[in-house]
Amino acid sequence: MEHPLHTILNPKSIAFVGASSNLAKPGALHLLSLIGTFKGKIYPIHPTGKQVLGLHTYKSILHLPGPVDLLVIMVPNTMVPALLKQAGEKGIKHAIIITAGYSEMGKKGKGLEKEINEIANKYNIRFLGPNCIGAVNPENGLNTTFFVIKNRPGHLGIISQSGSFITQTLHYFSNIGLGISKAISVGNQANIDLVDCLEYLGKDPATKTIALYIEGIKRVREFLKVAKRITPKKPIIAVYAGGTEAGARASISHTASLSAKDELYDGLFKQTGIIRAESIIELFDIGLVLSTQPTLNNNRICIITNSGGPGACLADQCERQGLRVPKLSLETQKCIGEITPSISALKNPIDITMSFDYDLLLYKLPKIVLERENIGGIIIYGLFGPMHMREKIESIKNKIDNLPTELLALMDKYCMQACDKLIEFKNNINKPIIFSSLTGPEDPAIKYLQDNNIPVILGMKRAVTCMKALWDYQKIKSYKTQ
Amino acid sequence: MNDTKILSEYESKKILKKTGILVCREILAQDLYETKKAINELGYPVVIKACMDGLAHKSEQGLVFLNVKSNEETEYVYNLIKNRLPNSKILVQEMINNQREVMVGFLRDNIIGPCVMFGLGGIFTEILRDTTFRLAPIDKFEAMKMVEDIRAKKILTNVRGLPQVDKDSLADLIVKLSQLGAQNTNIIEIDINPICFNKQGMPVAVDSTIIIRD
Repeated sequence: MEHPLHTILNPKSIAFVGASSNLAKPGALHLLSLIGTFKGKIYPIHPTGKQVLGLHTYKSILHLPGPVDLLVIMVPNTMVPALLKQAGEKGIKHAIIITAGYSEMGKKGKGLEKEINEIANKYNIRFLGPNCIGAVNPENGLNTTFFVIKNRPGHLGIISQSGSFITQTLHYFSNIGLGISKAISVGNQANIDLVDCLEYLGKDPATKTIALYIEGIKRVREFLKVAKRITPKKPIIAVYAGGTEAGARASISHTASLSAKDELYDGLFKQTGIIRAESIIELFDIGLVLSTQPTLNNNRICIITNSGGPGACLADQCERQGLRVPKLSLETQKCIGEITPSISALKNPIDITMSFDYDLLLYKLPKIVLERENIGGIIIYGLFGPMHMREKIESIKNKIDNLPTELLALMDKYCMQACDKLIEFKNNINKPIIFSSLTGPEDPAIKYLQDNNIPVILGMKRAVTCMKALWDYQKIKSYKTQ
Repeated sequence: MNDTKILSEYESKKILKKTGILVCREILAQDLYETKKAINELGYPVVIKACMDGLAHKSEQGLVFLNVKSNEETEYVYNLIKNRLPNSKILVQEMINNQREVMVGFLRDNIIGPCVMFGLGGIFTEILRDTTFRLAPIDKFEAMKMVEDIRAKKILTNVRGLPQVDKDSLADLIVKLSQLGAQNTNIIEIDINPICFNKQGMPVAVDSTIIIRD
């Protein structure tokens, strides 16, 4: 039997209850996201039956021309039971209930949640929520959230007990070059829960790495079993926020989640081979790297830079986090010495000191190192692409006459050519390369690397933490195959 | 916690022994005569403790006397215990080298269910909180991972002339405890603290408390 989440994430047709043309209403704003990208058919439901946002509407679920693959519900909580009944009578089997006001809201809410569960069971309806934001699938443009999908599809699957981390993050994902395969907000987990989602993404071919945001797992023992099965094949990364007293209090009122002590979840993660992230930003940093990079076969890291400070910080962080920064062999150092400026440091970090020789930094040095030395992965700092030169010229405009700006075009060209060479080289080596940077995708060179599966991580510590996660996962995989 | 019962150390250890966990040599005595008889059998130095159901945190209450070396000391300690707790029995134990102490525990969490714990023992359990947990029961491989998981894992090696700890046996103990707790739903909590190590580096349960549903 097909997993219910398969239909929920790959519907051909969606009916939307709570549709509105009034842009001040959430129903309108969520529907707009769907209209913007969804490749299937949308059937807005509206009691007047007039047009909504340019789409033909239907007076009720019962007025639909036939059963749709997915029903999205966004109306006040007391209206939901009746709608779900209609859906059952119409033969609709899958729903997303965005509406809040259920078990997270005390006794009355709990009663309502029980009621919709009973109706769903009676009609064999499987649903996400309530009190969730739904789901995102960039592949087919499914997006029931408020925000817009900006980035191309990728390979990180996200399961979150908070809608925020799959909606408000969509813009952020495009900024850091993170492509997602699927993102699911589970809300109160009344019918489909986190474990169901994990099982589904574990088997989803588009998902290569799974990121979890957890406030409290309902079926812990099943979670243990399912996660243990997945981690030898796909990395799972998790943030757990219910482990402190304040965190637990917030989790209960947010998603009615019963949290357990932090050390117990810590044990659960270790037992299942889940990599624990300290924060949401770290979750997506690591998610980006693990879903795009090949395995790190040994923990010997080479750092290539044109700036001493960042190079030193990277080296220091590597050692602090249990990675090694071995001295390169004398022969390799000699080789590097022949092509680098005379004041360069050659041992590792390799520091070519404020050189803008893109070809050297991005291509020649990584190539020499990986061809000659037993190095697991490379961290590069010092890509200053076209943006920087343009800003410089912009800043002196009208102050110097006849500035030869054709040089700018030439620099751009050299930089992008070097990026191309690195990308091609990278595709043939099967070893992780991570960039550490203080600039984001506002620099076209960085955007270009991000779009070609070379992660650029802000700061030094964060870049090293990602490399460390690759090493952690390598150890987890080797545990599991013992 | 109204419906729970704290088993005495002696009763708790009887259960551990049945599970195959190595427990320090000990004899339960009713009175001074039996206490001295027990000491004759075990030989000085010994450990003398108060022992009765419902009694937890003996050390904090000053009811544990280590390294008792003479009949004079024995009588003094015996009277101290009996004055404080007239109904208490006396537990006489061999003195085990306690330079290194670890602990293994079991708890039934309301949300997560049965869990097993390993960590640094003795007074350091609370001070350093160097512990690691797993959902119980676990297998040997997971137990080995737990042994390697504490920050102070170096204490299990041959540091400062101490013998290397038999990690294999330590992992076996963790597995057995995790199974004991997970299989017996009336067990709410087990504490083996401290676990010390004999000359062969084998882990020996020196003190234990089991809490059951009554």
